[in-house]
Amino acid sequence: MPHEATDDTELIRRMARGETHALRELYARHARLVYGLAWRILLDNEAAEEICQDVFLRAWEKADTYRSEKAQVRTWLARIARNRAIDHLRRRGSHEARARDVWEEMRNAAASAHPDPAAPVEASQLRERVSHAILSLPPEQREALSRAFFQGETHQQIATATGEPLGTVKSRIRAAMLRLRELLKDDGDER
Amino acid sequence: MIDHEEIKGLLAAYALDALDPDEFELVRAHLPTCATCRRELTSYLHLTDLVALGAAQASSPPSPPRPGVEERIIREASLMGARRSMWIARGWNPRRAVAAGALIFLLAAANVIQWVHSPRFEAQSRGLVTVALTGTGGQRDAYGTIVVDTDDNDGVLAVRGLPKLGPDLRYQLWLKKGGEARSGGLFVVNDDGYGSLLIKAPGGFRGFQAFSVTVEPAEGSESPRGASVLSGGP
Repeated sequence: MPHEATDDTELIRRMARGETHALRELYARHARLVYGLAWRILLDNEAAEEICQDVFLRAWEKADTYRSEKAQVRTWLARIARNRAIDHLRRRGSHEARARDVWEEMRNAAASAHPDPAAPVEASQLRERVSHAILSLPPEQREALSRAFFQGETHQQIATATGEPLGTVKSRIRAAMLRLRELLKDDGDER
Repeated sequence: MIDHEEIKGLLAAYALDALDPDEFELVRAHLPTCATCRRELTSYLHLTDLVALGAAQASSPPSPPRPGVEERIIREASLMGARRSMWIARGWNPRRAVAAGALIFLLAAANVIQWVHSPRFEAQSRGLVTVALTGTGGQRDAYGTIVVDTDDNDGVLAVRGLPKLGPDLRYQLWLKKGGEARSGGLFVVNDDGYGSLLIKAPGGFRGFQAFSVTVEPAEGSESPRGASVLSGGP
C-alpha cells in the first residue's frame, strides 16, 4: 500500500490497527529526529539507538491513545524521546562535570553541516526560531535551562553543580521559560 | 496550606521535570484542584514540546542509527501484535457473545475499553461483576472501574483522571475483606491520566468487600500506607 501521500496521523491510526508497514514508514520519516535528540542528550550512539527503539515501540504500543488535537506526531515522538533519554541519564547516574552550552553546540554543528534538502521548510523555520529564542537568553538562564532540559537536573542538582543559591536557580529557570513562552507564543505546533 | 503563587512559580520547572521530589509532590497534589494552574502548565508543556522539537531538528549526530535498529523495532512490534492475537484466540466464547457485547458497550461509554487489551473478561459473562471506584481525598475528579469474573481469578482495573506520579511512586490496588487488604498490583497512568491493570486473585474474587487505590513507593507496600485516591465496593 503506497504511503507517499499518507500523513503521520493516518500512519498512527494504521499502527493502532496493527499494520507494521505503517510503523516502518513512521520510522523512515522520524528516526533521524528521535535519534538526534536522544544522541544530543546522551552523547552515546548505542544508548541513543536504545532510546530510538524504545520510542518507536512505545508509539506502536500507545498508537491507540494518540490524540492529534493535542500535538503533531513528530512533537509527540520528540516528547517521548526526551523523557526516555532523561530517564536513561538518571538511571545511569552520571552528569556532565561541566556545563554544556548545548544550544551553542548545535548552532555550531548546524553552521558546518550541509542543509538537508529533504527537510520540510516549516521544520527548519521552527528550529531556527527555537534556537534563536534560546540563544537570546542571558547565559546564566540558558545554562540552567540546558541543565534541566538536556541533563535532567533538578533545581537542587543545578544549584549544587553551579554553586549558585537554590532560589537563584529557580528564578533563572522560571525567567527563561517565561521569556521563551513570550518569544514563541505564535508557534502553534499543537492543533 | 499550599501557597497558590508558590505553586504557580514551580509550574515551568514541573513541565521540565526539574523539580525536587518534595516540590514535585506539592504541585502534583495541587493540580487536580486548580484549573488555572492546569492551563498554565499546559502552556509550559507546549513550550517544552517546542524546545524538544527544535532540539531534535537541530541535532546532528555523527552517524545515523544502524539498520539493525529498524529491524529490531519491527520484529518486536510484530511479536506484540502476535501476543494480542493469542489472548483473543484463548478467551473468546461465542455462546456468551451477546452479554459480552452489552458489557463492551457499557465499558466503551465509560471510556474504559480503549486501553483494555485482554478481551478474556469480555467473553465470560457468567459471574462478571463491575465495581465503580470514585475519587477520594484530593482526587475527586478521578474514577475507575473494576471488572472481575467471580468464577475465575482474573479481573481488570481501568482508571481515569489520576495525576502522573514521580518516578519513585506507584498506584497500588487493594482488595479488602474482613479488615485485611491484599495487594492487587501496581500501576502507573499515562500523560492523559489513563491507567489499567490486569488483576490476579489466586483464590478468586468472591468475598472481597471493597477495593481501593493508594499512592505507595515504587516497590509497593505490604499494606495500604499512602494517600487513598480511589475507593469503592460491589
